[in-house]
Parts: sequence; C-alpha cells; structure tokens
Amino acid sequence: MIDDWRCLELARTGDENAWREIFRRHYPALVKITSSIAGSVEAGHDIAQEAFVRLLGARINHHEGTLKSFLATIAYRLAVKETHRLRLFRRQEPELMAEESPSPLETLVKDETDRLILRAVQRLPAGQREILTLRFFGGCSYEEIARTTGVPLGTVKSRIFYAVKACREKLKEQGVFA
Amino acid sequence: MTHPDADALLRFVLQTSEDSERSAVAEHIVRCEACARAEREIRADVLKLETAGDDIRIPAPPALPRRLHRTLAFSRWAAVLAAGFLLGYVTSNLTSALPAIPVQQRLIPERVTEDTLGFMPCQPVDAGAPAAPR
Repeated sequence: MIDDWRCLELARTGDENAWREIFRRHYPALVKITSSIAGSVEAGHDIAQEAFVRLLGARINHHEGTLKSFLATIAYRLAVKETHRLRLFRRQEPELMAEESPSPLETLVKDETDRLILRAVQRLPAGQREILTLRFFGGCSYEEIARTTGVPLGTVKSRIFYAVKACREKLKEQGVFA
Repeated sequence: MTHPDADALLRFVLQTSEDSERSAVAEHIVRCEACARAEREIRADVLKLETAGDDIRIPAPPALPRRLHRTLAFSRWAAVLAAGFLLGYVTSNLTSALPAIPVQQRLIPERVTEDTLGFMPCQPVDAGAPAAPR
C-alpha cells in the first residue's frame, strides 16, 4: 500500500487514482469530525470536501504528523470558521437536544450500534466532543489537538478522559458496550 | 495487591496517566488477569468509538483541478524565463555602469620613462609661442 504522503505527491502531479485513494482512506473520518462540529451532515460533507481541496495547495511539513491528522486539523479549522460564519454554532448541549431526535453524526450511518455510539458522541459537551473527534476520528496526538484548538495539553487529556468515560457509561446503560 | 480502579485503567488506555501511574498499571496488568481483562475491554470499547461510522457511503472526490498541473508546469517555465531576463538585465547594467576608457589612455602609458637607450622622448614644442620668462 502506498504511503499517504506519497499518494498526496502523486495527486498533486495530477494522478487521479492517488487522489481517489486518499479520499477513500480519510473521507469517513473527516466527515465525522466536520458533521459533529458543524451540526449538520450537509455542511459536514461540504466542509470535508473543501478540506481535501485545501490539502492540495497546503504547505506541508511531513515531520509534523500523519496526513490524516493534518487533514483533520484543516477540516476542524474550516468547520469552526464556517459555523461561526453561518452563525450555526449553536451549542447542542445534551440537555438541550431531544433524546429522540437524530444527531448529525448518527444520520451518517446505517448500522444501529454505530448510530448509538455516534449519538453518544454527539451528545457530549462541545468542548469534549471536539477533542474526542479530533483524537479518535482524526487520529491527532494530544499535542496536535492542543495546538489546533488552543486548549492546554492537560485540559485536552482530562477532556478526552471524561468524554470517553461518559460515552462508555451511556453505552453500557443502552447495552451497546459490555 | 491493590488493583488499579476503572479510571486508572481508562487513563492507561488513553495514555493520559502520569508516568508513575502508567508504569504501576503496566506492571500490574502483567500479573493480574482480572485487570488485564478489564483493560482489554476498555481498549475494545475505545476501538469501537474510533471506528464507529467508518463504513459511511463515500461520495466522489472533488475533481483534481486540471490547472494545478498546468500551473506547476507554467510556473517552472516562467521561473526559467524570469531568471534569464534577470541575468541579462544585471549583466547589461553592470557593463553600462563602467566608465568608458578613451583609447589613448588605454594605449599610452601615463608616465613616460626613459627608453632602453637612455633617451627621453621628445616633447612637441610650439615654435610660435612666446618664450617662458626666466
């Protein structure tokens, strides 16, 4: 399998197959991040696609991490900027959301278990959710998350801990996790 | 033997624990089957969180901009041409900036010296000119 960075180099020279391969590998993770932050699947798809376009022209330091985490940070920044711009940044705290209404994340998938997992993620407080999505879906290191979000490293670690703990408890109640 | 609690195991899996706690948990789960099982369960849950929704339908990627390739090729040629022009401009400016040297100055030495036979070269004398006062 060709390395991600090599794929990007090829895509930049016009190789359609390499471009499709990057897209196939990373699109699902990216759209989960963007939908989660933007609060809508449509916006999530648009932002994820925009992130891929930006990737082509981005100046890249290969030593900074993986292509996946690099893409995730582009997508995160775009999503935050876009939601601010469109004034869509309604904080969807768990208590404000109707328990029955489908969250943007869960409408992405058909598998019932995945739906419940993504619903639990979507119902986390915004600060925890952003960090969890960057870590788990974007594959970002804690240091990268701290740099991208501007949240101190210690806070990033504590938020991810409480986010996962809350998700596990919720999903255990629902019988999704053992 | 004190067992690490669920929070300590979760921190261990998430790699957010302090060094001392991490090494203590790592040593403990090697010896304690119950805690090792609990740690594996947490790891499995975290993996489910990470991979949930990875099978979503993937749309077609945005088209690769055709002009990207052309722009790169064009910019290479543009850079070569620009370098050529710059080189030409600099060299022409350098040569024109040097003062022109008259032919006489270049051919005739400034200081006249004796020739090999010891004669000084004659200076032209204007016979019609008044003699210099003594």
